[in-house]
Amino acid sequence: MKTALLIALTIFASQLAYAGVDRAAGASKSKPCAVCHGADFNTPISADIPRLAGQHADYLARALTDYKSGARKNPVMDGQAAALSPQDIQDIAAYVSSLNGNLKVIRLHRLVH
Amino acid sequence: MMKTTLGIILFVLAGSALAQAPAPVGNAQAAKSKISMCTGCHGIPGYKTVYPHVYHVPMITGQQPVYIVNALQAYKSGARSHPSMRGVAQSLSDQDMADLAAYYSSEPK
Repeated sequence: MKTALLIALTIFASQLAYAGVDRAAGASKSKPCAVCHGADFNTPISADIPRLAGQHADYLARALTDYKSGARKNPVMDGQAAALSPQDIQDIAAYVSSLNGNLKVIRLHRLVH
Repeated sequence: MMKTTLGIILFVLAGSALAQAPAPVGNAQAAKSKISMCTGCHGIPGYKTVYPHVYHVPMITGQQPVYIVNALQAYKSGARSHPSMRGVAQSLSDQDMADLAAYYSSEPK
């Protein structure tokens, strides 16, 4: 009985590990992205390419998921995202959002007062 | 007769010049009267959109100007879909978009 519980717990734990987000893996998986978005993800090669450093991870994942599904379209990004697995997308989003850059939120109250 | 012909030619030329008018230049100061519809979501740290998916609305302060205009144009045309962003973008002129891009890509005061 104890053994069965132990096995069940081990399987559960391994599934958690599998489903986890791997920021370090995201660093290497995001190398192709850096070609256009900049090595620091804050200095894109042209003004029509967005800064991504520090952007919210769930927004980045949404964008990549939408490019992959075709819900969002861009001649370059369609092809880039098509090759990514859901795990790749989570890893890349976690890494890029952890970087520091120019993006920020100007708080509403600063504008009101 | 001659004058009329010249007038017509000038009128046509002026019309084609207007039709090919270059993209408007953004004015960050002029954007200040237009940002109220942006700040209700993008000006609240941690704010999330909930439909059709739940995620943090992107940070747009410090973003690239041409990217901002392209995003707004895509929302306006329907090429990029998000219900509330489409509604906002449809209310914006090309000049509005240029002004907002100038504002958010600079350091807003």
